[in-house]
Amino acid sequence: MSHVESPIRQKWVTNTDTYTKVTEDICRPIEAKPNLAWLAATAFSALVLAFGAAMVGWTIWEGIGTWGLNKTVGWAFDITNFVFWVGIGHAGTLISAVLLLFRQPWRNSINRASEAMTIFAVVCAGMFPIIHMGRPWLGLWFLPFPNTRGSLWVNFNSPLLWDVFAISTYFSVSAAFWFLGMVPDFATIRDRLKMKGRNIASWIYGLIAFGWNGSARAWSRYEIISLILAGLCTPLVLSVHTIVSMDFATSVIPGWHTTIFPPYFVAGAIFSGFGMVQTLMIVTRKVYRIEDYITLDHMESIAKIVTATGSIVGLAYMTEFFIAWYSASLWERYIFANRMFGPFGWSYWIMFSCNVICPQLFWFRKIRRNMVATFIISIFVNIGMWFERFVIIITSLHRDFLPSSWTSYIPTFVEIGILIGSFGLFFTLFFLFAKYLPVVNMFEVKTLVRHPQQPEHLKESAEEPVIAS
Amino acid sequence: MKKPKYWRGIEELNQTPEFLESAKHEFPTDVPFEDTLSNTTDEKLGFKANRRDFLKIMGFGMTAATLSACAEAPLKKVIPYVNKPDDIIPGVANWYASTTPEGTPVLVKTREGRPIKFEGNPDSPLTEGVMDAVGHSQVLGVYDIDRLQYPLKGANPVSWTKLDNTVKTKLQEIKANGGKVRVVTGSVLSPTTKAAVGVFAEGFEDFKHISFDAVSSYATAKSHEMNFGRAAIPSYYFEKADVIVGFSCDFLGSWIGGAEYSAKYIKNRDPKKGHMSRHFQFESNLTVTGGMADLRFPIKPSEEGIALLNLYNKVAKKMGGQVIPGVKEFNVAMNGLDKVAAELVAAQGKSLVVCGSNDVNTQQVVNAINYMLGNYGETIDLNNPSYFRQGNDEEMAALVAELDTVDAVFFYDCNPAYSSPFAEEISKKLAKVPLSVAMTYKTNETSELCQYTAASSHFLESWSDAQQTATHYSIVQPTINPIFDTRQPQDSFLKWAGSDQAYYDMMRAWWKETLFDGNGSFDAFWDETVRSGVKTVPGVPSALSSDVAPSFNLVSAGRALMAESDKAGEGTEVVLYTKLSIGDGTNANNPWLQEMPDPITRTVWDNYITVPYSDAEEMGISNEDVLEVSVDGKSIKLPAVVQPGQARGTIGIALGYGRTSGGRVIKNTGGKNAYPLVSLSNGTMDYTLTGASITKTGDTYPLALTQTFNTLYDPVRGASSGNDYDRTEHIIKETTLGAYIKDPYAGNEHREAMKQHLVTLWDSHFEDKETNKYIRWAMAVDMNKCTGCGACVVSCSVENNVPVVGKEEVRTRREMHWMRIDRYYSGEMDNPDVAFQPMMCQHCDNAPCETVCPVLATIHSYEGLNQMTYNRCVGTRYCANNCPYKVRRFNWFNYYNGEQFTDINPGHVTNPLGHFVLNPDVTVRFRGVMEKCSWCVQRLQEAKLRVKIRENSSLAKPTDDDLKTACSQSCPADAIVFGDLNDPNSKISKYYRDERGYHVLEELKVLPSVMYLTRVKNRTEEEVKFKEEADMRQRTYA
Amino acid sequence: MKKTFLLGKFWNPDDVMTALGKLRDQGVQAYDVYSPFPIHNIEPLLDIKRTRLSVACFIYGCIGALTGFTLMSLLYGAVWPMNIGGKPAIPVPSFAPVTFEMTILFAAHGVIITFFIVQQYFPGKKAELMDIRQTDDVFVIAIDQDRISGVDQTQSISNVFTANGAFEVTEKTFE
Repeated sequence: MSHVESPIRQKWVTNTDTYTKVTEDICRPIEAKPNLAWLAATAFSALVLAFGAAMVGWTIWEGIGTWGLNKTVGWAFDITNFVFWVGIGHAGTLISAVLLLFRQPWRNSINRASEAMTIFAVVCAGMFPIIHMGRPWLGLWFLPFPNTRGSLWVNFNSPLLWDVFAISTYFSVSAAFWFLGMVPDFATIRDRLKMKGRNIASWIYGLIAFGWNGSARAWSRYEIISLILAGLCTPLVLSVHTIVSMDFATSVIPGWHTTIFPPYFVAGAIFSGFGMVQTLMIVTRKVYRIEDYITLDHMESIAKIVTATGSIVGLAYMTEFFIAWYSASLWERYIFANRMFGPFGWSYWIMFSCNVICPQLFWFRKIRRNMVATFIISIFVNIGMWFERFVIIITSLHRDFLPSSWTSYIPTFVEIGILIGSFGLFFTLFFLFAKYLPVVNMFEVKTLVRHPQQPEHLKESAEEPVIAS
Repeated sequence: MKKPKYWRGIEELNQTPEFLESAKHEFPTDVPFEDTLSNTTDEKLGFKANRRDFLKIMGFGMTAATLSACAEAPLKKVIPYVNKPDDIIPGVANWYASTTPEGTPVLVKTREGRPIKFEGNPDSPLTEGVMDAVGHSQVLGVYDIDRLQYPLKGANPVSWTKLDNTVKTKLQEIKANGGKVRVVTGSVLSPTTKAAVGVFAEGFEDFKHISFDAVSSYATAKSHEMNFGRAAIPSYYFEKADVIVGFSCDFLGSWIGGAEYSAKYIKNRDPKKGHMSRHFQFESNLTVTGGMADLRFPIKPSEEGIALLNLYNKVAKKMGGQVIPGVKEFNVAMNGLDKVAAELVAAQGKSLVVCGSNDVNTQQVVNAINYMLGNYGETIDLNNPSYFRQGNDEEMAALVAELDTVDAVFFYDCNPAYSSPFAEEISKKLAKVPLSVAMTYKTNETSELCQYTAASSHFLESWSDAQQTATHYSIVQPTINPIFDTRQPQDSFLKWAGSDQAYYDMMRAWWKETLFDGNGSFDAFWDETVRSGVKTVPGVPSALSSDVAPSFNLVSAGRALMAESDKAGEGTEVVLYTKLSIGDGTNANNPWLQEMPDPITRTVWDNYITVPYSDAEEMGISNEDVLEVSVDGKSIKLPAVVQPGQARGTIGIALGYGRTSGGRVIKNTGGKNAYPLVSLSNGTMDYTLTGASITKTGDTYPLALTQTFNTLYDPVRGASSGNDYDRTEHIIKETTLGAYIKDPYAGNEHREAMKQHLVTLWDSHFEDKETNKYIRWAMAVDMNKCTGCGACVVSCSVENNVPVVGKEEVRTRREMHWMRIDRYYSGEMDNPDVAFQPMMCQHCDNAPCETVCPVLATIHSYEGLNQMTYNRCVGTRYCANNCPYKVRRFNWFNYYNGEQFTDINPGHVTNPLGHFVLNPDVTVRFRGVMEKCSWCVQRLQEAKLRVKIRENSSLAKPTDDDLKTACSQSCPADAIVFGDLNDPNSKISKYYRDERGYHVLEELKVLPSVMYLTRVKNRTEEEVKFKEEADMRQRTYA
Repeated sequence: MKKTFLLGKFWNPDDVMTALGKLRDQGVQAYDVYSPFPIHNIEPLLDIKRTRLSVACFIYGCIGALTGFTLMSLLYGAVWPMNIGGKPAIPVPSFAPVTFEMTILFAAHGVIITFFIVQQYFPGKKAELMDIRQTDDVFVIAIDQDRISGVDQTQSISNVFTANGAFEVTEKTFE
């Protein structure tokens, strides 16, 4: 906003003194022809996606037997990936909703991209509960619909069913929120393309601009509804990972049966999400030359959040272990000893070093503002958080109650292929988004432009104003 | 350039008018359908097509179409029960009494005329309805796709008439010039078969009928001949013995009487009586018998003799008898031999020493001890001997020696070319024999060497009888017509003997004159016998008659055994044993047996070398290391299985593997043939070898184990945290008889206190009046009775169409058995205590699996069943993850049509014969579906209906006698009890009230419906103390 | 029907606010203001009442919660009671998550749909633009010609515009 502000207030948009420059910068990729780098990147990720799709096809054709699971370890990569991707999603909603409620102006320039990330991550996540089923073609049975099979409705006691509700609600609401946020920007693009005489493109964006014309009445309702949705999304995002964590917390398996899981998972989710935001933003701001809108200060505040949530996660790990010991429950104690020193100990230590130790580097301002370092750390955070879910699922399952049934677990290339494929899907979607939709929220960033100047094309026109008589 | 115009003939070339005309009607149509159908007048036809014509043509068209369709249709024979055979009701099973080749009387369940399940015949006073795993698996034999379908000449089919003629003519020649004829059979239980052979033998100058057992107990018979003048294996009455001493004798497992002895043994092991038999076991391999023993002493084979001699002397001293001179002192831990001797003497006439050794000297000492203790006539019955093993090693050896001079040899029901040390010799000499015929229902190594293979019918297709002991007879009754062009050997014998009598008539005749008591009509007697399947005749009194003057030449025996014992220490000693499942290898083509985990090693589809725990630690051997064992010139390469309890300095190798002929399952089986290692020492087969050397070959061989963690404490011995994480009290509860008599809650003391902590917010679904009027199913497992024999596992697989998944899948830990027997070791690893725990779905009242299934594919019935709805299951596997007992099984593939299961899964669709064995009452599960123990719900429903009809009341509930689950029915030791908990008089209710009762993992409060009963060992305080100290000693390392 | 507006175009939101204030002093009520981004506190100057969307949202939420809980309770309590893991027929705690999600689902989507309805925005709607750049960087104050008494008032209004930094004053007519 351009009303009077103290000059020492943090500047979130740099070297920008006209509103139209914002529009110019953000619309550039949309209006320009797709360049080679973009084509190459998109093609590559599409290829990876195709590979993943092939693996999924093979699984459905042959059966889950193509995976490395066994009678004792019934879940491994499938649910690990599911929880991982859902977790990634949470940062987007947090930025768009929670930071909005907290009136954090810096969110304005990153919320669009991170919301997109949310949507795509949830798409990836949603895939796994389907393909992990033995008979995916019956996935419809997850939905509560009237049927002729007497009692065969769904089981409202099952956390897996809660997931169905949580994930679908989460996906649809975030998607709607995301779209609503883009409507004014669509209008902007529509009018710019019109001015440039690209009528077809303008018409297309006009379709989804819903006839937005920026009237003050629209704006006033628009701001209210954004607040309402933010208010709805905040508990929603917390509930989603709470419910995901209940997949484990409500079970009887030692290492899963833990009341700390909901907060622990939510913190972990935000942590991993922001890790992914870092990864994406560092690339995006470079590639799109929008360092003026996603500034080092932005990256720094993200890094701070990563450190905070990372520490919470670390605390959760320690609490878990303390309680396991304090419970004096044989099973709990063994599971956690086995987690650290058992056959899967290595995965535990990867998780611990990546999630607890790495982010602590962000205590140093130099590292926070060094994009290369940040990028590397963010990758480690992603790896670490994937392994967190792996550790929780595998180490708890493979040695539970009766030693007679203890087994080990070795993934097959099919499972690994599906994991890689999910990344392909994610990046394909993100690249498409980055090309055809505004990666930064224009109208919100404009409110951050300080001391705007009168642009050349808006100078006083020579002739007297026309007066109708 | 101009396009060339091609012409088809002169006419076309010069365009004659005729041609042009005909060209117009190139396809002349004489049937003017169009005109006719379009109702227009047509001059050419000269009639007006009307509705009738239309209908005619339509009718013709229809009929033509229909007929042509019929012509194409494939011809399938479907036989509807329009005129129904009055003894067959579709959907209702018929039961027929018969007898397995092992001599177990069985009831055969047939559905719509095909046998699908065996159950032990409860009318038999010998077995009292028990049967071992092998028996249960036998039903598959009749549907074995690899069985012979017609007689063979060499490898080519030949007609019966041709075969008969050649055999007859050749026999005529032999008769003429007085040649040698030999008939080699397994132990023939059937008296009438023997008679048939007798008929066959007539007229030959030099004829011998040789009985041959792959695993022989000839020494027992021979020693009795030497000592008591009767070459027979006595009947043993384990139920009468208060002190049982077993010397390398797996009498609860693969010894002579298998299941029968288990049942009798268990009778005297019930702590409720306040008295249990004491059971000491001396053995090298850890067997299920050793696992059940109160005290087990690992000894080497070479020490067996000296141990027995010492035992004899100690007993003799106590009883003031002659001691054997020149016997070195020998003893086992805690002066075991003195202890044993003392207890034996204390229980004179009520004790029993049994020995599995096939060495005459050893057996003599055993007989002497038993005689001295006056066990003959009490626990040992020589007057009414058992006929299970009649093999005569000496005659067999003699035959092999003279084989090349024999003119005709017939092999019936035996396979010496594989299962004897003479295999090579036989294969060499058999070629020289002018006439060699194998009578078998499946090709085997011997039949492949013979000129002719007389394809015999499966015993489910044949009439015969069996005499298990002097007093017990039973009938072999066909339950299905011969499926192929086969004939039962008895008929062949008669035919070749030139007799035109059918074997069935001969059998009736024999029964009439031998067993028919004369009152009433014979037909009535016969029908009754065939119905019940068994016949018992009063035996002679079992006391040794006074005119028997036993003679023991113990001095020479002692000398021989001492010489043997000096061999101890030189090299490793090898013990060849037979598994409960595969046995001597006859049934190697049976996938159920191949996939049945060995009760001790829990390994499937392979044989291997069992290496003692400590030796393995020293030699750095671990599972799957391939070892080469070389002993007197012979050597064998097999993977190692580290075996706690294996006597140090010995190794064990199972016989019955490595077959080269006999079917597709065998082709998919691992393992090597260990029979070549068997040696013939002073007239008997010797299954132990000394002076072997073991070398690591360096390579490894994958083994499929269904259980890789053997103890209830931390496998790494708490190396991580110095904590053992001992789970024992949560899973397996044990106590001693002494403690139990003092306090029935012994070993189970904490249960009541712990239950106080199990509070709930919710009311039980089963405690209100409303539900109590229903049945409430429950099960109990008496840990004190389970011998781990695995009969229930196979029986369950047969009843519930459990797929066989093969070695690879088992190796990835995906075995599908609904019912498994967990085996845990405790105590010192060189001589651990063994606990067997049958584990099936616990049907928890607060089932964790039910809560988490998103689609309600598994919910609870008001009869307390945890029901699995296969066609609702979408396969999230969440239920399996959340099952504390890990009893749920997932269909990772389509086992019934995936090509990797073609050969091994009997129910496979590509197997035209095998899938007839499937139980029509049980669904074959689809890929991606979860399955688990259903407590044989199909049996429960059937019983409920049966009772309602019988009582003519919809409220009638089945009682204990009305039903049993497959596992409880087949348990030889009666360890598994199933019934209605709401019926206060039911057996299960009594078990639930028992002080020993506890649930596994009870503190989880999933409220299982399976009650386990604390195991009671008959051990004294100091014995317990000694075992604990030994355990501590060993636990200190690692 | 034909409608003509007198437009003052600004490049700076602050000028818009001051201009609006001046106009109100003259008793002129602006028809609407068009801006590329929301100008805060402009509502009183245009007499825009606070929207009641939040009330609607609350109602939708209640409906959602009710639907969810009744559905589950009816199915398990009335239609076909089952024994699932020994739980009572209506295990209220188990119903919490689904009820909650239904609440959010109904509230969020309900309020968004309502917004577009009251705003009469729909896909492909033709936008009524005073200036093609008003979604980019131009701020427009539109005044309904019919509410202007005469030429001199028009003059004075345009004076107010120009005096307060309007770079252009013009008229636009919608057919």
